[in-house]
Amino acid sequence: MNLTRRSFLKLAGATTAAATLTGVGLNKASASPSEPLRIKYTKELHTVCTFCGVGCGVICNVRDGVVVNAEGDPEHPVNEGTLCSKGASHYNVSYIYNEKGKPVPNPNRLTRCLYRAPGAASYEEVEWDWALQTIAERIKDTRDRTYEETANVGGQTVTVNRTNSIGWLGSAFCTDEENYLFHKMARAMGIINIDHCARL
Amino acid sequence: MPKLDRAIWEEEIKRCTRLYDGFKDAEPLIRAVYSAAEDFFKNNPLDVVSHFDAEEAEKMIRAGTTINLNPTIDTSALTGLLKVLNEALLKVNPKLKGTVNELEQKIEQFQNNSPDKVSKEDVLKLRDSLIKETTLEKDLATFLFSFLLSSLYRQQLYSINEVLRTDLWEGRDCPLCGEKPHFGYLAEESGKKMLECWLCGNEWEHTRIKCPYCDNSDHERLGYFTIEDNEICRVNYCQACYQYCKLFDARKFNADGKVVLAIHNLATLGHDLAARKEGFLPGSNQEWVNDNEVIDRQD
Repeated sequence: MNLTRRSFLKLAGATTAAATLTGVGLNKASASPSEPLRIKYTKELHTVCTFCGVGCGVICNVRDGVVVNAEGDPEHPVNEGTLCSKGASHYNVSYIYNEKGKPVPNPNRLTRCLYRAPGAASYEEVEWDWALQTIAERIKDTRDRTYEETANVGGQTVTVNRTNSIGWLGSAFCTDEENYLFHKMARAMGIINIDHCARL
Repeated sequence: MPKLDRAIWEEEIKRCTRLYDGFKDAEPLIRAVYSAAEDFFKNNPLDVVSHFDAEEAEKMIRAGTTINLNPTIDTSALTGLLKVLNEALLKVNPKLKGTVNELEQKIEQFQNNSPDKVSKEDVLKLRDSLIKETTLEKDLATFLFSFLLSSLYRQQLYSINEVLRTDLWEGRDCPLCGEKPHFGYLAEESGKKMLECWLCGNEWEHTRIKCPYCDNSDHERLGYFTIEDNEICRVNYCQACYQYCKLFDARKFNADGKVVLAIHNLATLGHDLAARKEGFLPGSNQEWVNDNEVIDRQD
């Protein structure tokens, strides 16, 4: 066996033991070596704030598939690391704090499709397919019942091709392209009461 | 990177004692070495590097080229400082007498066989030979020599920081000396990721979600881990090159002004051990972990 100075000293049980950081008070091991350290892995992801059309950059910290923190992206040219009160509360979409200050799942977060029938006092859970079909049927029905081809304006009959019975709201949660298509669809149906949540 | 005065590092020791469990045991060592270095430089001031073309440096930084300023080191200053650091070790643990004696013999040999000025590489070769030929383990050698080199570099280069345009730097290594970083911090106000050179103390901004060693920016292969409930020290890893860098969340420091990250690094060496055990190597090549701490020895 190759005998180095270091191994000779160790084999001989010499008084000069190996000099390590532990010998000068800089310990690396945990206080209870028999218990493994709780190591928590987290990923950082770039994303965009969902709340308005400004589109601030957000860095989300995700642990085990759950968002544990959301903060402004310091490299994003729009917000340079800052977030307004809505953007800063992204985390609270999923989690709120209980009386002990511990995060718990937000009970108000919608995770299922809920429907309140006309005149009903409460919501019931429904299937997405039923909900989307019903929405389409009711929009079509309302539009057909209230559609007016012409109107009397200043004593003259003019072509209007409109319905006044539907209000249509765009969303900052959607992209410009999606909002454009929604707007086109609304106009194609004759809807004229169109607005966007940013104005509210 | 201003020269450290006592008030700054004393404050940092207190802060680290509050923030990190178990750091109290290291207080005597940290205080001893910083005091020893402060006294040494008071009595043996070094020449500050004065020939520095700030305009040329700015051009190089804009072009993405590191300046690679590595001043030669006065051999007697090097060996003198190493001797006082050895004495500091002995004060903390008198049982190290055998190792300290071995080191002093080797230091004297080095001084006798070296020219008046040596390079950083010569110093690192000295370190490696001490690890091979004495009972000095890798981790303690890294501590001694990183403290030694960074003290000497900062004494000589501190005035350059005032004119160095690190805000224009978009690279990953230190724009001044070219060294790879071992740690950095998330800035207090903005959350920007700032890397700090362990050698010359220079700081520069780096892209938050990007590896500072291989430029990987695929977030699927980047991340960080924390240990127990301490969310201050993050071990940022990359699964493209399997290297790690430590980031300290300065937003949790409650600090006014200069923070001495080197002390935070020493307070969190458990994170370096955990990183090695999780399969990551230090991107800076700073070996804070001994081989026998990572492998279960059967002998």
